[in-house]
Amino acid sequence: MSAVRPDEVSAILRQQLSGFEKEVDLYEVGTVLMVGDGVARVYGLEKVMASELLEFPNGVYGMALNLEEDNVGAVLFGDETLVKEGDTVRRTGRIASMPVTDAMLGRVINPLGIPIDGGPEIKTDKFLPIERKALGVMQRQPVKEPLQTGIKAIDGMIPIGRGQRELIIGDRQTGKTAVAIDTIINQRYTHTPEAAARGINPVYCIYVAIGQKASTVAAVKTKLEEQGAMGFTTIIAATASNPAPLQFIAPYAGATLGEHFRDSGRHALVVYDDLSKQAAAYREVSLLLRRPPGREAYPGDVFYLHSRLLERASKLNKELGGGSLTALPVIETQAGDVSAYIPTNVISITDGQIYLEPNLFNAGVRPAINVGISVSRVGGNAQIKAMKKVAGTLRLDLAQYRELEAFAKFGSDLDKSTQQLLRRGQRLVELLKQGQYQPMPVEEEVISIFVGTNGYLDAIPVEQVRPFELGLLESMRLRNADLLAAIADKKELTPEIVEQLKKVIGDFAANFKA
Amino acid sequence: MNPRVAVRYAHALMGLAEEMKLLDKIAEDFRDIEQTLRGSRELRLVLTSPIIAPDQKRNILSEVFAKRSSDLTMKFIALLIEKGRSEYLFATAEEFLAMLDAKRNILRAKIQSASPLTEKERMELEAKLERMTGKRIHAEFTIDPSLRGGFVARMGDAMVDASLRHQLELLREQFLEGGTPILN
Repeated sequence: MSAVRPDEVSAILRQQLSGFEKEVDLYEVGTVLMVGDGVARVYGLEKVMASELLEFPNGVYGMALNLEEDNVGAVLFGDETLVKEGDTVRRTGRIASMPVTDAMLGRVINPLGIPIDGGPEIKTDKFLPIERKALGVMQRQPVKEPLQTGIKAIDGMIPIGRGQRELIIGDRQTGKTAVAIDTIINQRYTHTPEAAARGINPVYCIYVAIGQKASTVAAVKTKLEEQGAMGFTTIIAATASNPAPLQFIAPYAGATLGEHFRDSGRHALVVYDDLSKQAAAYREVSLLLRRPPGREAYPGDVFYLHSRLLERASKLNKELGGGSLTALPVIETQAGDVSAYIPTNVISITDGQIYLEPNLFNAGVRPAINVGISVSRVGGNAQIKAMKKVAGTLRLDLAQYRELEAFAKFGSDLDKSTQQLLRRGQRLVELLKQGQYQPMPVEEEVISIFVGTNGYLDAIPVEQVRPFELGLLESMRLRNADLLAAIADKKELTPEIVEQLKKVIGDFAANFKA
Repeated sequence: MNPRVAVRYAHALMGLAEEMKLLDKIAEDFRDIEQTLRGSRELRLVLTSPIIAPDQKRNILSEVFAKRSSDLTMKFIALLIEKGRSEYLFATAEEFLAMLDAKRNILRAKIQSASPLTEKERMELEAKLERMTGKRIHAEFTIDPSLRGGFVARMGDAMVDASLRHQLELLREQFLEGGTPILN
């Protein structure tokens, strides 16, 4: 850094001073009655608005949440020890809002838009309220573009479309975050020139970490950087050490930033990891504000808490630019109990759920997606034709397999057709296994599933399925790149492509056995 | 922030005083009561104490106020004590006076200045605030050297801040290019 000359400094100061002519300042104030547990009660502030930002002494900011007959309940975003009884509180006249800008990509920020990664200040004039109303019916259009997760099981059977809300639900340590991170990594492809040539628009990602360990957030950031996905991703972090009010507004901040992309005709993906912790943070704040507790001590409006957040996911109509905001909320269940309060709420709000199971995870099926009870209610329209075609029988085959799975131990006592179903099922399950941080391009997914559902694997031992798949894809990338490109370009399996595919796979299978 | 009970009693008293056309007298009485109570911690403690019998409270209060106050005021005090609400006398008086101000379009202002203001300055300041708010200003002037210069007027929740201290704060913020909320 070069030395700053003193006369330059004075020149800048003089310039700033010349624009400074405020004689009288008018503002409204209140007095702190009590403060504690991150909540303050304020007397006065008669004209304060709901969720308005308040300025406490020592640079602490708060948000008015309860407007009562004789006092205002506010949550503090800063250190409560800096605020004491009798302090003066000032209205800012601003609804709690955050700065939004493209410069936030590649950065880690807190829910108020302040960078916390030690990087330079983020400069912008554009502020948007954290709580925005979701769009109405007329501004939307049905979900129709795919959002490829790069995970075979999801893109094949539980497809997600841009503008959809798909819940990721499961116990702790079942790979929920892994699914979300893989999806973000897979969006790397949408930012390449090849994708642009195929008419695939880039997807900007926002990862909202709520109540997680700071070390976990740092690990996610490092992983995304390693995979070259941080360039189009913003991490909004309200870690476990942040006050509950910050954790509670973090998802709304993520949605606001996502809307910035959506409203400019682009596509955004927001991962809320996870909403159970947000609900717990909101419960804490609500109880401290003395709102009456309801089921599981959550306040009465905990459904609205999540519905108004997820309703902001949308696909805009053409006149508004056709942008989209896809939401991937994450919910952690306790011992597989999806009938607890928060999981049932969020399941009913979203357009489907991806259910992850510890049993599958421990059995080595990873990602541990239970495809039997996972659904996507709207994504089917967004699937490319090729995928729709090959994956059509996949779900059915797997369902039949699960039904007969219990009989597998009878082995050769079973009739031919049952044995065939079991054989096919085992291989399909094996085929849908996929390593972490290894999302696949959609054309390769199509080929993998094509191989499985067309019986090319039936003759191969189960433990050879993955080597076969990897070998086939490897050889196709080397020798049949034009075929892969044709699938990606046409997005469907024409009879010619099917013919070629059959030939290539047949040849490979013959060599593989030999 | 006065309890609701105080608001109710003050409201009732206001209605009765108007009906009996005794508003000015009652207002005077209650200004007196409010000031006496504000000045005497002992008297406030007596009123809040549950140990002192209601009769005794009534005797004490009539001794203090009976000579100066009107009949209605004394009746009102007796009623409060009868209902076991003697601890709300101070709050009721405050509430009553606030209601009276609102009725008479009076706004109480607390004006702090860094140095004493001359009589002319005070008049001008009040006139200016009256124009600004459209209400009659009853100002209470105090001196606060920490303002460095200028004055601060507080009327209810509204602050008119023309102090040097505040301007220095604003200047500091501008130099730091502040304006975005910073977390501690």
